[in-house]
Amino acid sequence: MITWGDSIEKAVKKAKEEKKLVLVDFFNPG
Amino acid sequence: MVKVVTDWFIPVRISGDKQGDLFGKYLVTWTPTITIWDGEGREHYRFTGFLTPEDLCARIILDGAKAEIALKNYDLAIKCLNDVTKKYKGTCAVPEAIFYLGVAQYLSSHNPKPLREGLERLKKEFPQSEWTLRAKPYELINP
Repeated sequence: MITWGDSIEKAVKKAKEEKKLVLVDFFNPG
Repeated sequence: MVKVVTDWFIPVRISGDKQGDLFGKYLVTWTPTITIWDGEGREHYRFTGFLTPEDLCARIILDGAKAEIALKNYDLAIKCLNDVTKKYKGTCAVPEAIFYLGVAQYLSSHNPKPLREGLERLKKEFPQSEWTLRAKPYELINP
């Protein structure tokens, strides 16, 4: 299961710490 | 899909009804739009529209690999691009993955031969692909 965050800034900071990339899914709920 | 996302990415979902202001800020005009960023806050790639689960997975791996090329993580990029060509055969991402496999191998080795090999593979497997056209100048490289 994927745990999605809702903050790009927090994800970028975490990605830098963990040497990962950030995947941002912009969506409109049906 | 889950393993690819969790092993390699920090995943974020931005909902148009709750954070619509961010759509304007990041110039998102249509959904779904998936963007890939690095740890410096730089967006590398984005794609828009619906894909099958297999095509979506292949596209995410391909765009992640392209971001790793830009970050000079060539070994990881080459591994991921090989994964796209081998594990996701039949997906739309394969011709582009072959193209970038040659690019990543060239940048990591400074040997132009992989660019030519990529072109030959594209001509054989995907003669009508735009990626075959994009690789055409590599005909000038001695095999």
